[in-house]
Amino acid sequence: MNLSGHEHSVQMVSASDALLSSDHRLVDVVDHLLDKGVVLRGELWLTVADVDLVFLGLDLVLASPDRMRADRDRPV
Amino acid sequence: MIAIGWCYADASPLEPCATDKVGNVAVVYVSKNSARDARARALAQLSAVKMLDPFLPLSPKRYMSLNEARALAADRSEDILARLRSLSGRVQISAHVTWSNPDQACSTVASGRDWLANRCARIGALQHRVEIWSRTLFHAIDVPQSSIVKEVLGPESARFDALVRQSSACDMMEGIAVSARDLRNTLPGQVTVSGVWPGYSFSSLDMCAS
Repeated sequence: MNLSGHEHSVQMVSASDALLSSDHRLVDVVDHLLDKGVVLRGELWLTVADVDLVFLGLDLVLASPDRMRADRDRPV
Repeated sequence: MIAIGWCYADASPLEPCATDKVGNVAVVYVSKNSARDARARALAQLSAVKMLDPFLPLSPKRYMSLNEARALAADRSEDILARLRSLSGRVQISAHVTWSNPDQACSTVASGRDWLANRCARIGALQHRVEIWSRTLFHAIDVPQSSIVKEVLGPESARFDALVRQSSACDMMEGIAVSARDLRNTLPGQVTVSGVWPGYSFSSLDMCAS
């Protein structure tokens, strides 16, 4: 234990081990990482009388709805 | 066939990856069986990054067909080439940090103004803590702070991604782990150092355009 009472730990893991692990901490690490990579982003401004009212930032997914549904339904 | 990324047109990977040329770049793809979910696609990308230098990874959570990736390559070839050049000889290593935040308990606030001031102070403290973690973890390895992507994941967690030379990536991971172990009494937390990854946090095509 340490000054704040919070457990201090250090873990070093290879990428392949992290991907294959079911440890909840590593699952969390991997889940955030796999959101990265090439993603196309879109931006939409809703403007009235030259006043910017609403900004929408969009991640564009380049796949047909059927394909996305099929991917989502596959077992993890 | 499912796309997992892009490489130079003259690269020739081995199984399970294959390439399809589009001008000066090539789409790297795998069979549907090798790409059934995000983790499977990420595993295929680990194979690709070992065989192909440079390799520009598609986000594993994106499901893109070969034809769609070909269309993107034709449309954004200059951006893809620029990003491939920046990834040449380099891979990503990451440090995921969680800590306990004794200041997180929100005290009773009298007004909306107080709440906003309180929130602003908490955000400032969080950004300060993330900066300290970043400088402390990476001070021992030769990576400039400007080459580190810092992402706040919540009030008690953050991730740091660095693009490093492939040849020294394992040594750098060890260097970060050693720095983290030295923080037992001064900056307690749980640190997970992972790698080597494709350059996920350094692959945004929009970054090329800016």
